[in-house]
Amino acid sequence: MIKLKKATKKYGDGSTALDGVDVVIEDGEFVFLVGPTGAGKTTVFRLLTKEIELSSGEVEVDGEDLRKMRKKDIYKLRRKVGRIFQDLKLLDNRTIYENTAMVLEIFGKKKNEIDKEVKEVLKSVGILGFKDKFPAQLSGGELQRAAIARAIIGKPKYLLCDEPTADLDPETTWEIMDILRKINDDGTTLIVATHDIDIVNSFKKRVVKLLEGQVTSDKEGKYD
Amino acid sequence: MRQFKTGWKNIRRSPYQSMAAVMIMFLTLVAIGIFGFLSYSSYVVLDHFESKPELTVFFEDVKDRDEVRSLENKLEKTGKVAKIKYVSKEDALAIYKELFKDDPVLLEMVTASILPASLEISATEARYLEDINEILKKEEGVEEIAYQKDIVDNLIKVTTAIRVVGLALISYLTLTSLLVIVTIIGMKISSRRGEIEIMKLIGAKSWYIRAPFIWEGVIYGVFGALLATGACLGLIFWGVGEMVPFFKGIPLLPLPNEFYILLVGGEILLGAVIGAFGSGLVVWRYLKR
Repeated sequence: MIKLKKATKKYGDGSTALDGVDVVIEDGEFVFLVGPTGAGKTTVFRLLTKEIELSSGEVEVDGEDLRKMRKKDIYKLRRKVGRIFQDLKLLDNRTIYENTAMVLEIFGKKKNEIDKEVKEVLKSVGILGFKDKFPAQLSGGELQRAAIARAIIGKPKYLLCDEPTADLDPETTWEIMDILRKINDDGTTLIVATHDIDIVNSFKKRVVKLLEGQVTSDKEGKYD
Repeated sequence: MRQFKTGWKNIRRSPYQSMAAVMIMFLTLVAIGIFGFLSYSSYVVLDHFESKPELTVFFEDVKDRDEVRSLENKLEKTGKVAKIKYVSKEDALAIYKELFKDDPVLLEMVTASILPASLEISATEARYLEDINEILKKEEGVEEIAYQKDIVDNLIKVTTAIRVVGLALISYLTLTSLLVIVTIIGMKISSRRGEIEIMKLIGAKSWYIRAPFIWEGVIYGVFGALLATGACLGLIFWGVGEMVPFFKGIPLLPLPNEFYILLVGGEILLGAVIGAFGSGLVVWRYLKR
C-alpha cells in the first residue's frame, strides 16, 4: 500500500509543490495521477522513491515510513518501486540490452540469468529485435518500450510512470498503454501520471486529480 | 569482479588521465623506496659502528712499553674492557705501509720513529667508552684519543637529516598523488554523473557505484608501485655498488630478504592504499550530496 497523509512539500525558494495531500493506493491498483504541469505529479513520484523529503506529513510505501528510512536502505525502496521517467533516462552509450541488463547487474544476478531475463522482458514489450541498438537509433515508441523494460525487469511491486505517452503518436500510445495494463494485470501496482484525457477516460480506472499541489478529486473512471 | 572490470574499462577509456595518475604514483613510490633504503642503510652503518665499541689511544714517545702495560692492567681491572691490542711504532709503520703501498712518495717520507705507539681498546659495551675515555684523559703521556663517538654522532645527524628530508618529500609527493587521483576520479565521476544518477534511482547500493572508482584508484596505485619497485631495485643495486668501496667492511650487501619483501609488499600496499583512499574520498563526497 502507498499512503500519503497531509503530505506537504515546500522547496527552498518558498514554492509549495504539495499541500496537505491525502491519498491511499492499495496494492494491485491502477491509478491515474492527472493535473496540469506543475500540479505536483512528479513531486509525488520523487517522494515515493525518497529522492526528496517531505516538509511535513507522512509518506508510507509497503508499510514502511519513508521519513524514518535510513539513507543506506533507500536502494531497497527503489528496487521495490520501479519508475519510468518522463525523459526516459536511458544511457546513450549503452545498447538497449545493456540498459536493461544494468538493473539486474546492480541486483547482483549472474550473467546467464541476466541474459535470459533481459531477452524475456524485451520480448514482452516487443523490442527484442532492437536489443543491440543504441537509444539514438530508436523511435520514440521503441524508446518508451525500452524504458518500460528497464523499469519492470527488476519485478517491482509498484511502478510509477511519468507521462509515459508524451510525444507518442496515437497508435503507439495505445500500444504502450496496453503493455502497462498487462503489467498491472500481472499484479504490479501502477500509478500513471498523464495529461492524456482520452486514455484516462477509456481506461475507467481510479483518477486522482492534483491542482496546485492539492488533491481536487479522487474518483473512479473519468478525468473531469 | 564486475566492479573491477568496470574500473579497468574506465581506465582504458581515458588513457592519458590514467597515465598521469600512474606516473605521479610512480614518482611518489620511488621516493618512498629510495628514502626507505637510505634510512635502512644508514641504520646498518650506524649499527656497525655502535656494535663495535672501539677506542684508540696514541701515546707520546716518552711513554715506554712498561708504562703502557701498567695502563693495560688498570683498564682490564675496570671490567669494561673486552680486548686490548698494543700497536707498537713498528706495527704502525707496517699498517701505514700496507695502506699506502701504491704511493712510494708517502712511504719514503715516513719512518717508525715518527709514528706513535697506540692501544686499540674494545669496550664490552658502547656505553663504557666514555668511562674508558675519562681514565685515559687523566693518564700522562697520552697524545690523542680517537673513538667512534664522533663518527656515530655524525652518522646520527646524517640519518636524522635523511629521515626529515625524506619524510617532507614523501609527504609532499603523497599529498600531490592524492590530489591528482582526486582530480582524475572527480573528472570521471563528473562525466558519468548521469549514469550514476540513474544507477541510484534504479536501486544501486552505494558500494556498487563506489567500487569501480575505488578499484580504478587501486589499479593506478598498484601499477605505479610495480614500476616504482623495479626502478628502486635498479637504483639500489647501482647505488650500493657505488657505495660499497666507500663503506669498506660494512655489510650493506647482500640486502636481507625482509628488505625485498618489505620493499615490494610495502610499495604495492602503499600504492593501493593511496589510490583507494584518494578515489574513495572523492566518490564518498559525491555520493554524500
